[in-house]
Amino acid sequence: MSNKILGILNLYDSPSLGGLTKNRTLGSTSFLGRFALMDFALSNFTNSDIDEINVLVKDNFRSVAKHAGTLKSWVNNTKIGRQNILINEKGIRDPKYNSDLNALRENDWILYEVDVDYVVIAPAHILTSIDFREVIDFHIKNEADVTIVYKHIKDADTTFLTSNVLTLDENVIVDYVQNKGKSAEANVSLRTYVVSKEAFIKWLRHRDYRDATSLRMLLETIISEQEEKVLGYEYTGYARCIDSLEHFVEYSFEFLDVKVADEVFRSDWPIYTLSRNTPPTLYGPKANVKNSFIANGAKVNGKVDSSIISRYVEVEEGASVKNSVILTEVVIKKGVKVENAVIDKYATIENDVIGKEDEHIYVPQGKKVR
Amino acid sequence: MSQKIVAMILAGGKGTRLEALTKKVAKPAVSFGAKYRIIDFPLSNCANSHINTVGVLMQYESVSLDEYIGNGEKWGLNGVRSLTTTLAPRQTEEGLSWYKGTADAIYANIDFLDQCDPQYVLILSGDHIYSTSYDEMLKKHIDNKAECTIAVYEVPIEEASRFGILVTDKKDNIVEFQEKPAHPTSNLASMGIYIFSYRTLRKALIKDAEDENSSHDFGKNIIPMLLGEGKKLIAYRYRGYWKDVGTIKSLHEANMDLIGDKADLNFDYIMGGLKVYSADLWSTPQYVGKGASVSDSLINQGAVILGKVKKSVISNDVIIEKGAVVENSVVMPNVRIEKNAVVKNAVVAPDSIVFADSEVVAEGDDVVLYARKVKSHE
Repeated sequence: MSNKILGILNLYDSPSLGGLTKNRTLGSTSFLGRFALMDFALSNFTNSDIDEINVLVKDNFRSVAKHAGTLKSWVNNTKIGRQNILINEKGIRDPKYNSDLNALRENDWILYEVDVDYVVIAPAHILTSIDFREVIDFHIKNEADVTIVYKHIKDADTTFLTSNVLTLDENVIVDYVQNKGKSAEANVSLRTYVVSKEAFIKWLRHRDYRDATSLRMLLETIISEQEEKVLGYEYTGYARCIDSLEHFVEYSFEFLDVKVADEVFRSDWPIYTLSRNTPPTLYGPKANVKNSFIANGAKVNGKVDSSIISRYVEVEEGASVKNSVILTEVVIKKGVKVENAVIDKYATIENDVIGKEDEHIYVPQGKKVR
Repeated sequence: MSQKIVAMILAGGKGTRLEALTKKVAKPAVSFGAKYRIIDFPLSNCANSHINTVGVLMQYESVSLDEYIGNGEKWGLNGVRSLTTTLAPRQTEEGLSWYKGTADAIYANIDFLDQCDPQYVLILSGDHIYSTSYDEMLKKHIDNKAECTIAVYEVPIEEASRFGILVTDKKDNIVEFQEKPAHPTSNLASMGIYIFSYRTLRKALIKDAEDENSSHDFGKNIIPMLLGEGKKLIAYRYRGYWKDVGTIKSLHEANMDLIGDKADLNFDYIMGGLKVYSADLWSTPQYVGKGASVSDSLINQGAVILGKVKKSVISNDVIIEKGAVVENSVVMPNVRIEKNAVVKNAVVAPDSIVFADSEVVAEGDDVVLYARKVKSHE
């Protein structure tokens, strides 16, 4: 490994998924029955040989601690590199100033203590399989001050509405504004940035940028001043922005298509997650499962179609689950029908739960539906 | 370093009767239950009993087993107070020799045990499938001030002549050991699981090593020797699920015990209570396809099922293609069963390919072993 890189997973950037993210960060939200959404960005760090891994947490610290722990699930060498969960202690006391940029200012010690050349910042809510080594190579070769990773998409009017849109001159970003969904075709920011450690330290402390309250605002300011070389790196692989419950559901189901699954689950790009030593899935004699992901520890003796079943879920005899996402340890009782639903952890479903195809019904954590 | 109890797991056997499954791996490393290796069970049991020091004795195909055991991390046996080590035969000042028997394997590592300085030594077999904590057995050993406690399993009396049988008095004191007796007078089969007080074990091993006529086996030599010396040996009755899988047929049967009518009892017993730990696999989620049908089966993550699966145990990273049928079978990791193939009453070895439209079928109660490895280096 030639370059020493500090990776920061920025959980400040996360949109709300309604009830699903009421008591947890988007990054800690369960995905495909066996992952948490943050696993994707963290695994990108690991797979890109990044040893210094940090998670910048805004709130719902418990859910992050439960899943990420000491981040040991994403460590290549257990002795090399340091892993930290970073919180903004001042920001907790004064939420008004609790932004990602202030949290980074508050935690700038990592920049001084760790011997790295570059900093990579990535969000949890945009799923990608970016190889950061390639972005850094681009960044160095083009002598950039900042590199923003973007993707050219054709549905920018309905997706990536929380991201910025880039206007490029060659590969220089000349305009960087919020995506208002005005045109379908656009270069959207994946909110993934590469910057040299020196420049980053300088900007965090710079008096000209003192008024910037978020990383996005800082970048907007830097780009508008046109004094620094801000480049766009085009990424062409899988990228989805999870910014609503409907997108969460849509992008979950998308993985049932082998083409999408193969693009993300590559043998040279494993997605690491917290291991829980769960026994395999047990299918009963009455099981009837189609087009679904079923996690270990689940017991299925009913009908499951086009759904995602998480760890330790029980689908009893005669129950049927269709077009639904069922989170950990949910019990779906005998004969009950669940359709177009997202059922949060530990819920017990004793009566039918039916949502609409374009509007999934959400059942909160631990709820007993009678 | 003084540990109260040290576990020594005998994992050196070849398991000849498992045929091609043990051609390149030791029997304890054979796959079981869609996700595990057999040795995961005794190692998890040690972890669940808070036994921190574990020696794994290996001989046959020790490299892959050694790699699997590593520093014990897979079972959490690498904590600050833990020590997991593999013990293969080695060259010493006295020369070089293979382990000549179960007792000799322990004797050859008496220096390791001396260094650990335990009060008790737990001797385990690396190829038994059962999930338990040894706490109760150790407590019985201590409470009874026994020198050796042997775990026993009640078998039907008509089958008793296949086992090493222990005859006990009313207080579970062992009065006689019968090795595969023609006319057994007890139905308590030795499970090959022993707790010894280390001082007693140490003396017995040294004495046994000096005996040129001994086959250096715990059952055949050490136990009768201690009984002859009038030492206090007691039986500990084990009542949970326990299987010693020696043949393809019994391996198949033990896998089938986890599903179907027996699932409620066995699956929950083995996998529902104490956790069984194993290697972390970074497999993809388990996918069941549009035209697939799955019932009465145990399937691990990373499997892709596009065909029909019934009454089977399917391991990680197995692909069952469209139109393929798998029934009453055990499919080990990383197997591809191609289009329209039929697999019935079979055990499919890891990394095999079952070619499209072909049949791997045994009739009646028979079980067929299929091993056709995809060779990547040729």
